[in-house]
Amino acid sequence: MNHSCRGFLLAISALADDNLDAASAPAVRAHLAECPECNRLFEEQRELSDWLRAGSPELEPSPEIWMRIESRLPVPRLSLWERLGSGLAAAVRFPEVRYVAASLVLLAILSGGFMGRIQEAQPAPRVYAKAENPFLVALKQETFPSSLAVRAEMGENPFVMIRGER
Amino acid sequence: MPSEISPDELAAIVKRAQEGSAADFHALYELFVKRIYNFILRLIGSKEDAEDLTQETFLKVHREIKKLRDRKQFRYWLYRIARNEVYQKLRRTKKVSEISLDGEEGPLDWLLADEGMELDPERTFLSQELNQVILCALRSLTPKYRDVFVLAVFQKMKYVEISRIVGRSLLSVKTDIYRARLVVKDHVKTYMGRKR
Repeated sequence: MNHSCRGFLLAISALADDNLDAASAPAVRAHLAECPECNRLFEEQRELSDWLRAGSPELEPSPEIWMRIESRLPVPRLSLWERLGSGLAAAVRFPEVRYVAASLVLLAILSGGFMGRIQEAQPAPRVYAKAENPFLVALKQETFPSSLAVRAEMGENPFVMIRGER
Repeated sequence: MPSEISPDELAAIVKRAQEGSAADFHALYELFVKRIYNFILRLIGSKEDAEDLTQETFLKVHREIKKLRDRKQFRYWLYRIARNEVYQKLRRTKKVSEISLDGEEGPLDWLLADEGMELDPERTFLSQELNQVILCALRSLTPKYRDVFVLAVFQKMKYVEISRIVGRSLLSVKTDIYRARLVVKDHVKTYMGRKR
Protein backbone atom coordinates (compact mmCIF):
# COMPACT_ATOMS: atom_id res chain seq x y z
CA MET A 1 0.00 0.00 0.00
CA ASN A 2 1.59 3.25 -1.10
CA HIS A 3 1.03 6.81 0.06
CA SER A 4 -1.78 7.50 -2.39
CA CYS A 5 -3.63 4.39 -1.18
CA ARG A 6 -3.99 5.89 2.31
CA GLY A 7 -6.14 8.63 0.87
CA PHE A 8 -8.63 6.00 -0.27
CA LEU A 9 -9.05 4.09 3.00
CA LEU A 10 -12.17 5.89 4.20
CA ALA A 11 -13.67 5.81 0.72
CA ILE A 12 -13.07 2.05 0.44
CA SER A 13 -14.78 1.53 3.76
CA ALA A 14 -17.70 3.68 2.60
CA LEU A 15 -17.88 1.78 -0.69
CA ALA A 16 -18.09 -1.50 1.22
CA ASP A 17 -21.23 -0.12 2.88
CA ASP A 18 -22.61 1.22 -0.44
CA ASN A 19 -22.18 4.62 1.09
CA LEU A 20 -19.80 6.32 -1.26
CA ASP A 21 -21.00 9.63 -2.68
CA ALA A 22 -21.49 9.75 -6.41
CA ALA A 23 -18.79 12.40 -6.88
CA SER A 24 -16.02 10.27 -5.33
CA ALA A 25 -17.09 6.89 -6.74
CA PRO A 26 -15.38 7.08 -10.18
CA ALA A 27 -11.97 7.97 -8.72
CA VAL A 28 -12.20 5.22 -6.08
CA ARG A 29 -13.28 2.61 -8.58
CA ALA A 30 -10.47 3.63 -10.92
CA HIS A 31 -7.98 3.24 -8.08
CA LEU A 32 -9.38 -0.17 -7.16
CA ALA A 33 -9.04 -1.30 -10.75
CA GLU A 34 -5.31 -0.53 -10.76
CA CYS A 35 -4.38 -1.38 -7.14
CA PRO A 36 -4.79 -5.07 -6.25
CA GLU A 37 -3.97 -4.44 -2.60
CA CYS A 38 -6.74 -1.87 -2.15
CA ASN A 39 -9.10 -4.03 -4.16
CA ARG A 40 -8.38 -6.95 -1.82
CA LEU A 41 -8.99 -4.65 1.15
CA PHE A 42 -12.31 -3.56 -0.35
CA GLU A 43 -13.38 -7.16 -1.00
CA GLU A 44 -12.41 -8.12 2.57
CA GLN A 45 -14.42 -5.29 4.04
CA ARG A 46 -17.46 -6.07 1.95
CA GLU A 47 -17.25 -9.76 2.82
CA LEU A 48 -16.97 -8.87 6.49
CA SER A 49 -20.16 -6.77 6.33
CA ASP A 50 -22.01 -9.53 4.47
CA TRP A 51 -20.72 -12.12 6.90
CA LEU A 52 -21.81 -10.08 9.92
CA ARG A 53 -25.30 -9.52 8.53
CA ALA A 54 -25.72 -13.15 7.51
CA GLY A 55 -24.42 -14.42 10.83
CA SER A 56 -26.67 -12.23 12.92
CA PRO A 57 -30.06 -11.83 11.26
CA GLU A 58 -32.62 -9.44 12.66
CA LEU A 59 -34.88 -10.85 15.35
CA GLU A 60 -38.61 -10.33 15.63
CA PRO A 61 -39.51 -8.28 18.68
CA SER A 62 -41.92 -9.86 21.11
CA PRO A 63 -45.59 -8.81 20.76
CA GLU A 64 -45.55 -8.29 24.52
CA ILE A 65 -43.60 -5.07 24.02
CA TRP A 66 -46.64 -3.36 22.52
CA MET A 67 -48.93 -4.79 25.19
CA ARG A 68 -46.67 -3.35 27.87
CA ILE A 69 -46.53 0.01 26.12
CA GLU A 70 -50.28 0.12 25.65
CA SER A 71 -50.89 -0.61 29.32
CA ARG A 72 -48.78 2.43 30.23
CA LEU A 73 -50.26 4.90 27.77
CA PRO A 74 -52.45 7.58 29.35
CA VAL A 75 -56.18 7.19 28.69
CA PRO A 76 -57.18 10.09 26.43
CA ARG A 77 -59.73 12.54 27.86
CA LEU A 78 -62.17 13.53 25.16
CA SER A 79 -64.09 16.77 25.09
CA LEU A 80 -67.89 16.74 24.65
CA TRP A 81 -67.54 17.52 20.95
CA GLU A 82 -64.94 14.79 20.46
CA ARG A 83 -67.21 12.31 22.22
CA LEU A 84 -70.13 13.40 20.05
CA GLY A 85 -67.91 13.16 16.99
CA SER A 86 -66.68 9.69 17.85
CA GLY A 87 -70.24 8.65 18.63
CA LEU A 88 -71.38 9.85 15.23
CA ALA A 89 -68.43 8.16 13.56
CA ALA A 90 -69.32 4.93 15.33
CA ALA A 91 -72.94 5.34 14.26
CA VAL A 92 -71.85 5.71 10.66
CA ARG A 93 -69.62 2.66 10.84
CA PHE A 94 -71.81 0.36 12.89
CA PRO A 95 -75.59 0.16 12.16
CA GLU A 96 -76.20 -1.38 15.59
CA VAL A 97 -75.11 1.88 17.21
CA ARG A 98 -77.65 3.75 15.11
CA TYR A 99 -80.46 1.43 16.20
CA VAL A 100 -79.49 1.76 19.84
CA ALA A 101 -79.28 5.55 19.56
CA ALA A 102 -82.66 5.74 17.80
CA SER A 103 -84.21 3.54 20.49
CA LEU A 104 -82.79 5.77 23.22
CA VAL A 105 -84.14 8.92 21.55
CA LEU A 106 -87.57 7.33 21.13
CA LEU A 107 -87.52 6.23 24.75
CA ALA A 108 -86.61 9.74 25.86
CA ILE A 109 -89.47 11.27 23.85
CA LEU A 110 -92.00 8.77 25.17
CA SER A 111 -90.87 9.12 28.78
CA GLY A 112 -90.93 12.93 28.36
CA GLY A 113 -94.61 12.82 27.27
CA PHE A 114 -95.49 10.49 30.11
CA MET A 115 -93.84 12.79 32.67
CA GLY A 116 -95.71 15.75 31.14
CA ARG A 117 -99.00 13.96 31.65
CA ILE A 118 -98.15 13.19 35.28
CA GLN A 119 -97.34 16.85 35.86
CA GLU A 120 -100.61 17.93 34.21
CA ALA A 121 -102.58 15.65 36.51
CA GLN A 122 -101.22 17.34 39.64
CA PRO A 123 -102.83 20.67 40.72
CA ALA A 124 -100.52 23.57 40.22
CA PRO A 125 -99.41 25.25 43.46
CA ARG A 126 -101.14 28.57 43.98
CA VAL A 127 -98.86 31.50 43.38
CA TYR A 128 -99.78 34.94 44.61
CA ALA A 129 -98.71 38.10 42.94
CA LYS A 130 -96.87 40.26 45.40
CA ALA A 131 -99.70 42.80 45.61
CA GLU A 132 -102.38 40.11 46.16
CA ASN A 133 -100.62 38.32 48.95
CA PRO A 134 -103.09 38.64 51.86
CA PHE A 135 -100.37 38.70 54.43
CA LEU A 136 -98.53 41.56 52.78
CA VAL A 137 -101.76 43.47 52.17
CA ALA A 138 -102.60 43.11 55.83
CA LEU A 139 -99.15 44.21 56.83
CA LYS A 140 -99.33 47.34 54.66
CA GLN A 141 -102.90 48.41 55.42
CA GLU A 142 -103.18 47.72 59.08
CA THR A 143 -101.30 48.67 62.16
CA PHE A 144 -98.52 46.50 63.37
CA PRO A 145 -100.31 44.66 66.21
CA SER A 146 -103.47 43.96 64.15
CA SER A 147 -101.37 42.68 61.27
CA LEU A 148 -99.83 40.31 63.70
CA ALA A 149 -103.27 39.21 64.67
CA VAL A 150 -104.28 38.71 61.05
CA ARG A 151 -101.31 36.60 60.42
CA ALA A 152 -101.92 34.65 63.54
CA GLU A 153 -105.54 34.08 62.43
CA MET A 154 -104.35 32.85 59.06
CA GLY A 155 -102.24 30.26 60.80
CA GLU A 156 -98.96 32.00 60.01
CA ASN A 157 -96.21 32.69 62.49
CA PRO A 158 -96.67 36.47 63.04
CA PHE A 159 -93.08 36.91 64.25
CA VAL A 160 -91.52 35.80 61.05
CA MET A 161 -90.74 38.95 59.09
CA ILE A 162 -91.02 39.04 55.38
CA ARG A 163 -87.79 40.51 54.14
CA GLY A 164 -87.97 43.95 52.56
CA GLU A 165 -91.66 44.53 53.10
CA ARG A 166 -91.64 46.99 55.97
CA MET B 1 -36.70 3.24 6.91
CA PRO B 2 -39.32 0.78 5.82
CA SER B 3 -39.37 1.05 2.06
CA GLU B 4 -43.13 0.76 1.73
CA ILE B 5 -43.78 4.23 3.09
CA SER B 6 -42.74 7.56 1.60
CA PRO B 7 -41.37 10.44 3.70
CA ASP B 8 -44.57 12.41 3.07
CA GLU B 9 -46.76 9.54 4.20
CA LEU B 10 -44.61 9.13 7.28
CA ALA B 11 -44.87 12.86 8.04
CA ALA B 12 -48.66 12.60 7.73
CA ILE B 13 -48.76 9.70 10.20
CA VAL B 14 -46.51 11.62 12.59
CA LYS B 15 -48.79 14.66 12.31
CA ARG B 16 -51.86 12.61 13.21
CA ALA B 17 -49.98 10.97 16.08
CA GLN B 18 -49.03 14.45 17.32
CA GLU B 19 -52.71 15.34 17.26
CA GLY B 20 -53.39 12.43 19.58
CA SER B 21 -54.35 9.63 17.21
CA ALA B 22 -53.69 6.35 19.01
CA ALA B 23 -54.04 4.40 15.76
CA ASP B 24 -51.30 6.45 14.12
CA PHE B 25 -48.99 6.09 17.09
CA HIS B 26 -49.49 2.35 16.79
CA ALA B 27 -48.75 2.61 13.07
CA LEU B 28 -45.45 4.32 13.88
CA TYR B 29 -44.66 1.57 16.35
CA GLU B 30 -45.38 -1.11 13.76
CA LEU B 31 -43.24 0.65 11.18
CA PHE B 32 -40.17 1.01 13.35
CA VAL B 33 -40.26 -1.48 16.20
CA LYS B 34 -38.25 -4.21 14.49
CA ARG B 35 -35.43 -1.90 13.45
CA ILE B 36 -35.30 -0.11 16.78
CA TYR B 37 -35.41 -3.37 18.73
CA ASN B 38 -32.55 -4.86 16.70
CA PHE B 39 -30.55 -1.65 16.91
CA ILE B 40 -30.88 -1.65 20.69
CA LEU B 41 -30.22 -5.39 20.91
CA ARG B 42 -26.92 -5.05 19.10
CA LEU B 43 -25.85 -2.16 21.26
CA ILE B 44 -26.82 -3.68 24.58
CA GLY B 45 -26.45 -7.42 23.90
CA SER B 46 -29.34 -8.64 26.04
CA LYS B 47 -32.73 -9.59 24.69
CA GLU B 48 -34.51 -8.70 27.91
CA ASP B 49 -32.86 -5.28 28.17
CA ALA B 50 -33.56 -4.66 24.49
CA GLU B 51 -37.27 -5.31 25.05
CA ASP B 52 -37.35 -2.99 28.06
CA LEU B 53 -35.48 -0.24 26.26
CA THR B 54 -37.63 -0.57 23.14
CA GLN B 55 -40.65 -0.14 25.37
CA GLU B 56 -39.13 2.92 27.08
CA THR B 57 -38.15 4.39 23.71
CA PHE B 58 -41.68 4.26 22.35
CA LEU B 59 -43.18 5.52 25.59
CA LYS B 60 -40.86 8.49 25.39
CA VAL B 61 -41.83 9.00 21.76
CA HIS B 62 -45.47 9.08 22.86
CA ARG B 63 -44.74 11.63 25.58
CA GLU B 64 -42.55 13.89 23.46
CA ILE B 65 -43.92 13.60 19.95
CA LYS B 66 -45.80 16.89 20.16
CA LYS B 67 -42.47 18.67 20.60
CA LEU B 68 -41.11 17.37 17.30
CA ARG B 69 -41.28 20.29 14.86
CA ASP B 70 -39.87 18.82 11.66
CA ARG B 71 -41.96 15.71 11.11
CA LYS B 72 -39.67 14.50 8.34
CA GLN B 73 -36.94 14.14 10.97
CA PHE B 74 -39.01 11.64 12.92
CA ARG B 75 -36.83 8.67 12.06
CA TYR B 76 -33.59 10.29 13.24
CA TRP B 77 -35.33 11.62 16.32
CA LEU B 78 -36.58 8.12 17.13
CA TYR B 79 -33.11 6.60 16.77
CA ARG B 80 -31.65 9.35 18.93
CA ILE B 81 -34.14 8.52 21.67
CA ALA B 82 -33.33 4.81 21.40
CA ARG B 83 -29.61 5.53 21.51
CA ASN B 84 -30.00 7.78 24.55
CA GLU B 85 -32.00 5.10 26.32
CA VAL B 86 -29.20 2.60 25.68
CA TYR B 87 -26.54 5.01 26.89
CA GLN B 88 -28.51 5.78 30.03
CA LYS B 89 -28.90 2.08 30.70
CA LEU B 90 -25.20 1.46 30.11
CA ARG B 91 -24.33 4.29 32.47
CA ARG B 92 -26.70 2.97 35.10
CA THR B 93 -25.27 -0.51 34.97
CA LYS B 94 -21.73 0.76 34.45
CA LYS B 95 -21.33 -1.50 31.50
CA VAL B 96 -19.46 1.15 29.58
CA SER B 97 -16.36 0.46 31.62
CA GLU B 98 -16.94 -3.25 31.70
CA ILE B 99 -16.82 -4.06 28.02
CA SER B 100 -15.61 -7.60 27.80
CA LEU B 101 -12.97 -8.39 25.28
CA ASP B 102 -13.14 -12.12 25.62
CA GLY B 103 -16.90 -12.31 25.41
CA GLU B 104 -17.17 -14.67 28.32
CA GLU B 105 -19.50 -12.51 30.34
CA GLY B 106 -22.84 -10.87 29.75
CA PRO B 107 -26.20 -12.23 28.67
CA LEU B 108 -26.14 -14.18 25.47
CA ASP B 109 -29.75 -15.28 25.43
CA TRP B 110 -30.47 -13.64 22.10
CA LEU B 111 -27.89 -15.83 20.42
CA LEU B 112 -30.64 -18.34 19.94
CA ALA B 113 -31.88 -16.30 17.04
CA ASP B 114 -33.50 -19.30 15.45
CA GLU B 115 -35.35 -20.45 18.49
CA GLY B 116 -38.54 -20.82 16.44
CA MET B 117 -36.79 -22.87 13.80
CA GLU B 118 -35.85 -26.47 13.98
CA LEU B 119 -32.16 -26.75 13.22
CA ASP B 120 -30.03 -29.78 13.58
CA PRO B 121 -27.77 -29.63 16.64
CA GLU B 122 -24.63 -28.97 14.65
CA ARG B 123 -26.14 -26.04 12.76
CA THR B 124 -27.59 -24.65 15.95
CA PHE B 125 -24.19 -24.84 17.57
CA LEU B 126 -22.50 -23.12 14.61
CA SER B 127 -25.16 -20.44 14.46
CA GLN B 128 -24.77 -19.73 18.15
CA GLU B 129 -21.03 -19.71 17.89
CA LEU B 130 -21.14 -17.30 14.97
CA ASN B 131 -23.51 -15.04 16.83
CA GLN B 132 -21.27 -15.13 19.84
CA VAL B 133 -18.28 -14.10 17.77
CA ILE B 134 -20.26 -11.20 16.31
CA LEU B 135 -21.49 -10.14 19.71
CA CYS B 136 -17.98 -10.26 21.12
CA ALA B 137 -16.72 -8.28 18.16
CA LEU B 138 -19.39 -5.64 18.81
CA ARG B 139 -18.60 -5.64 22.50
CA SER B 140 -14.99 -4.97 21.72
CA LEU B 141 -16.00 -1.63 20.24
CA THR B 142 -16.40 1.48 22.36
CA PRO B 143 -19.98 2.80 22.37
CA LYS B 144 -18.87 5.65 20.10
CA TYR B 145 -17.78 3.18 17.43
CA ARG B 146 -20.43 0.60 18.13
CA ASP B 147 -23.51 2.68 17.35
CA VAL B 148 -22.20 4.03 14.04
CA PHE B 149 -20.97 0.60 13.02
CA VAL B 150 -24.31 -1.06 13.84
CA LEU B 151 -26.21 1.63 11.97
CA ALA B 152 -23.96 1.35 8.91
CA VAL B 153 -23.49 -2.40 8.68
CA PHE B 154 -26.57 -3.98 10.28
CA GLN B 155 -29.15 -1.26 9.63
CA LYS B 156 -27.60 -0.32 6.26
CA MET B 157 -28.11 3.37 6.82
CA LYS B 158 -26.55 6.13 4.80
CA TYR B 159 -23.63 7.87 6.48
CA VAL B 160 -25.46 11.20 6.24
CA GLU B 161 -28.38 9.74 8.18
CA ILE B 162 -26.03 8.26 10.77
CA SER B 163 -24.39 11.63 11.19
CA ARG B 164 -27.82 13.17 11.92
CA ILE B 165 -28.58 10.49 14.50
CA VAL B 166 -25.32 10.61 16.39
CA GLY B 167 -24.85 14.36 16.00
CA ARG B 168 -21.32 14.14 14.65
CA SER B 169 -19.83 15.34 11.38
CA LEU B 170 -19.91 13.17 8.30
CA LEU B 171 -16.12 12.88 8.32
CA SER B 172 -16.15 11.80 11.96
CA VAL B 173 -18.77 9.16 11.18
CA LYS B 174 -16.77 7.84 8.20
CA THR B 175 -13.60 7.66 10.28
CA ASP B 176 -15.32 5.94 13.20
CA ILE B 177 -16.91 3.33 10.94
CA TYR B 178 -13.59 2.66 9.27
CA ARG B 179 -11.84 2.22 12.63
CA ALA B 180 -14.67 0.09 13.98
CA ARG B 181 -14.41 -2.13 10.94
CA LEU B 182 -10.70 -2.69 11.56
CA VAL B 183 -11.36 -3.70 15.18
CA VAL B 184 -14.16 -6.07 14.20
CA LYS B 185 -12.06 -7.54 11.42
CA ASP B 186 -9.22 -8.26 13.84
CA HIS B 187 -11.64 -9.91 16.20
CA VAL B 188 -13.13 -12.10 13.52
CA LYS B 189 -9.66 -12.97 12.18
CA THR B 190 -8.59 -14.08 15.64
CA TYR B 191 -11.66 -16.28 15.84
CA MET B 192 -11.04 -17.72 12.38
CA GLY B 193 -7.39 -18.34 13.29
CA ARG B 194 -8.45 -20.23 16.40
CA LYS B 195 -10.84 -22.33 14.34
CA ARG B 196 -8.13 -23.46 11.93
